[in-house]
Amino acid sequence: MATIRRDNIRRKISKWGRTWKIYRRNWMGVTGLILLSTLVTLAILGPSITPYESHERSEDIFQPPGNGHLLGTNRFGEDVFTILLDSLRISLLVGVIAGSLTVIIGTTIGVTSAYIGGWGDTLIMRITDVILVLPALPLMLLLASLAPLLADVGDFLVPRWLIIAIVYVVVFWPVSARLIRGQALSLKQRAFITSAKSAGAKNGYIIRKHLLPNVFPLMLTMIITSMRQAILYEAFLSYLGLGDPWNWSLGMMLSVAQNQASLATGAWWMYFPPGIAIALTTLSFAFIGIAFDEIVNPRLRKR
Amino acid sequence: MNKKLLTISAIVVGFILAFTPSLMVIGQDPIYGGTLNTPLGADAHALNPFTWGTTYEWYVMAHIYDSLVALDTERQPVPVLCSGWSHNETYEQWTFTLVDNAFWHDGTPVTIDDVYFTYDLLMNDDAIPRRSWLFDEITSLEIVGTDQIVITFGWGPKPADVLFDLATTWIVPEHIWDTIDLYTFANDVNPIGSGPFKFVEWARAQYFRLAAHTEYHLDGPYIDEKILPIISEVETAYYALSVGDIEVMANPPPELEAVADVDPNIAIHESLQDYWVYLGLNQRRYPNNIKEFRQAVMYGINRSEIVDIIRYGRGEVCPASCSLPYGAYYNPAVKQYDYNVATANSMLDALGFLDNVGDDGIREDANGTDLSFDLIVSADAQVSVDTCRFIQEYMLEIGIEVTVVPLIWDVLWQTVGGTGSVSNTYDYDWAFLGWVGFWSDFHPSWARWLFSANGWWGSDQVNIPGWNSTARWEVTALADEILYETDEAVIQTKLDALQVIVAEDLPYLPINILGGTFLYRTDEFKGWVLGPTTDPDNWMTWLAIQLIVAPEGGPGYLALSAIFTLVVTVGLVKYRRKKQ
Amino acid sequence: MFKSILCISGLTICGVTIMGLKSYIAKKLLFAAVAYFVAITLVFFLYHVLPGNPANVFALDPRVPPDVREALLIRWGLNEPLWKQYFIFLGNLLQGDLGYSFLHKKPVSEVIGVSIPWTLLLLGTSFILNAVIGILLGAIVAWRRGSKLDTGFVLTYNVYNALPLFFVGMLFIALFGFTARINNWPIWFPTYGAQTPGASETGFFSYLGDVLWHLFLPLLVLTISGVLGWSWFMRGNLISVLTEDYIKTARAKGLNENQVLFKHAFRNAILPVITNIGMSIGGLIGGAVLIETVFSYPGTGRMLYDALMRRDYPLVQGAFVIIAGLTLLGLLLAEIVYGFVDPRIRTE
Repeated sequence: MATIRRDNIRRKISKWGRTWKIYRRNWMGVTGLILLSTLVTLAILGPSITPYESHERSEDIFQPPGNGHLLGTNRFGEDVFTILLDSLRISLLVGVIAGSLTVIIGTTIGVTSAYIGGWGDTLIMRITDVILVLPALPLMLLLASLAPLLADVGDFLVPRWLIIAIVYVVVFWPVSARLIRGQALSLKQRAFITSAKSAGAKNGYIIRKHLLPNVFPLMLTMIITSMRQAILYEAFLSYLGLGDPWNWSLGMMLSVAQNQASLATGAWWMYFPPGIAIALTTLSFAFIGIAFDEIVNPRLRKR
Repeated sequence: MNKKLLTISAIVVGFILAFTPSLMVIGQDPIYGGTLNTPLGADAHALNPFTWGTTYEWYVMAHIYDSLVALDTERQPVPVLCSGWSHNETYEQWTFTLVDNAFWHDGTPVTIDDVYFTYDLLMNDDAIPRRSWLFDEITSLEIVGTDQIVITFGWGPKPADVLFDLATTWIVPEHIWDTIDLYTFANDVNPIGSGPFKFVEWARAQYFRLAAHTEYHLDGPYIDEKILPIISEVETAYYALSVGDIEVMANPPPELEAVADVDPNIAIHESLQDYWVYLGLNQRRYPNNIKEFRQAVMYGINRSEIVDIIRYGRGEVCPASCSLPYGAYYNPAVKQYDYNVATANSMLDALGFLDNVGDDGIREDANGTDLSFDLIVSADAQVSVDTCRFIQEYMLEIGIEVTVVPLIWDVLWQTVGGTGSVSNTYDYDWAFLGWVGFWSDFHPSWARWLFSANGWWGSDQVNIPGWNSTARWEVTALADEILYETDEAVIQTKLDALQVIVAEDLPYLPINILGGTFLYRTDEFKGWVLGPTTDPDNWMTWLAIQLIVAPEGGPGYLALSAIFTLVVTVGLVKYRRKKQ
Repeated sequence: MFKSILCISGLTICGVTIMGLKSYIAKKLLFAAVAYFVAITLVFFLYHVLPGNPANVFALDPRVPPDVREALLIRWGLNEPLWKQYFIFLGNLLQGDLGYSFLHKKPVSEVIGVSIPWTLLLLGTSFILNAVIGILLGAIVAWRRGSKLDTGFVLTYNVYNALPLFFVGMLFIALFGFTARINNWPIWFPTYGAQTPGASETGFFSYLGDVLWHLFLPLLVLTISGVLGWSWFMRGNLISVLTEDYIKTARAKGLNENQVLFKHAFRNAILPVITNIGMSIGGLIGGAVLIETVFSYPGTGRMLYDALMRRDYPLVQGAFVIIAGLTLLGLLLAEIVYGFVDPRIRTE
């Protein structure tokens, strides 16, 4: 028994190793990974990198970069670089929460649906289809503008950015549910699962041991796509006035810069840092996604 | 012979003059023509003078409709649709005389029946949202002769109330409004008014087009057309201003002032708005109901820093009496609350609110509970949220913990009691809100509306701060007396006394008065009428503004040819005389 | 599989499949109707179950006393029980009545009706350009896979999509609307509105020119993103088709590259692109909300946003019903077209 487990682990390691080897060959994947890890490190280490607090006011009001402020200061004399790191953290958090929740919920529903089959499957898929065909941004606008009516009642106050993340999940889970179900359905017919079934394996066991590991790569690509999208949607909603007025996020920074006409006044340090940060974050997710796609779908690899 | 020549030239000049009203006084004659573009931040809704909701509708309708009296840029009453007004000794009976040369945009004359119709409508329907409170006080309304309306009240309201509140009501044409339901009338196809501009076109979400009302009974407007493009992006509006597509921009970001400063064709006008924001400490709760506590909080807020940094120097600190610091009724001799942490701390110490438990820097009240408050604020207004963040920092310095809770407006407004009492009303500690349009600078009744327990906002039904000290009743008595008082000197004395009590007792903790900043172009048009509390784009500007350079081939050309004819003729006549 | 696809152009096949087509279309229609019903119900209950009501608009105005508000509630029938309001709402909808905007004092359908032509102009033009340019560009880059062009495309696609649309919009406004104008570049574009006031009186062609001139920048921003999206999808499809066995067979048979591309690969790769139309319409409409807002363009997307900001609930409800309807209609049309083009779908 012990040897089998060790064998398993070894096999897994070598599988991951092979995957990494393929991944490494893709320059986009590598660039994306380096970019993302830099951004994540910056976001996590944020408070210890800069000597300021994001709401710490200084005498330098609305100064361009220099004089101890890497990206200058805003109207209140707050350090833009510090704010940028704070924003990056919230935006990444929105991405992580929204992205992973979307896919986890989607996978659960997709696998369940594929596994139970019959009219249950049909019903679930009809529901996902309906949500899928509704226009996403208008639906999100609607939900995000109404959610505070619920969230603000009582003592427990959900921050706006979290509301946006949750709204994203509500609108986008059907995408992953549909894709995962498709994958799970085809797996269901495969020989190794049917043989496991005939050998008397329980449903839970089959799902855990055979189905999930095989849909895992797809889940991973989808998590990456969702994270990228969620960060962008957070920016969209912030721009449309539904952002979090209390916490900085990249979208909020951009929307504030927009309201202050930073492009017209030449205050580029208010406008470009959040714009570029959003671009770099989503770009790194996109690159990683492309590299993963090539692993999952070998035909996409270069000839 | 020369007489004949002179007659002919006089006819020629007269003919030209008939087509050029601009030659009435040579040298300062207005130049006719041109299109003035002034932007709207968002589209308007129904153009209904009785039910309008936002300033956008108000702004569009102000071009189209006129009232008997309007406020000039110094906020003094000036007659518009009336030629004058009078009242009897007790102020109970007011007579307004209609001008005889005003016309509706469809060509029919404005009659006293239209005025009667409008006032009668408002008098008899108290569900109309846009309606002066004085309509409730009218006992009779009658037409005298062909051009006078006599309004009788149950008691004698002061000129300020009648002229500013009642007589500024827009007059609507009876022949259009007598058959429609005013609650459902969108009035968006061809609104007919008697104002300086006629409605031409409303391309929804794009622009309004208005043309000068050529039969307008006052001088002006001199421009041909006014276009109100709808531009929602600040940046886009600024670009449009700097290339000359639009002539005015309201409240630009402060950095744009500097950019605009460089442009010699863009001028800046700064004004104060009748809009002040306050911190409301819910006095239904302990310790907010202690006067010294409220005073300590007030001392602990650096209000001038809020004006300087959050409002970038626009506007000013609001007097503790909640009155605007200009105008006849302002009393500057009230308690001041200059930022002073030491005073605030010692006042809190004296109240016995010390940091006994846990040494966490937060004081405890007499029950041993931390001085920790939730501060609710509208999440829709970033500036308000920022102000609350500053207040949070100031309070921490005097040992009070504030948690800022941004709420959406509907929830906030209901919680503070703005919609009248419902289940969760008044469930808050502190609230950050603002008041607009109490006109405390020239309107002696303002205090009654805001503070009197018998007025609307101070009544138990609303009373946002939950004010209930003895001072509230003193102020109520004073404010009610002022409403019925007609002696200016007595009003002045009582208002002064009232302001002293308010500043001492602090029902509201006023923070700052908002300023309005406007950029306007000076290269194409002249005649902007500016005032300490107005926008450059006001009704007086609309009547006065004109092109700096006359358009080619237009009336200016005609005027020149008239002068030319005159000079040549006079020369010829003289020449002939000499010859003879 | 390959053969069946090649046969679709044959008339004989069409004769056989028309029966199936009818039931296929019926099925899709039914689904669209159900989806629409769910969307309508969702938006209705969202607005009526949550705290707050349409009369809240008046709460924004501190001078309106509560008794007036009460009077308005009764006047508009908002005091009826919820289920009754719902059935009234559905009944009205069937008659094309989307409700009544309290702020505009007009039927919602009239208010939205003004904005729909502009949205259709923007979205329709963008959609056609997206499809045509997108598919061609996708085919080209897929065919030259691995070349500099392809790498450039992949980079452009990812970078452009990494930037929020409104950010790009503002940059374009600054560049082509402002910088171009003050520096006297040969051409510049308007940055707000859909026409010059009064342009409609200047004759048809100059009016058309004016409208197109105003349309240019919003269309450009929306279309670049759409074209890149479509060609990205097309590229992916074509690449996977090109690695299929039958393409290898075709090459082995000695067909030249053009024949392989156009006769075999292109046709098969384009089918999934058509199914993607429905999804792309949803995305396009989302983009339109942003773009119309950035460019102050008078379309339905901006109207939805404005109505949300001012809490004109009946209008929000109506605008959403219309937008969802447009999306579903687009999807339905795409599926019907697909049903014609690819018989396989009907056997599903």
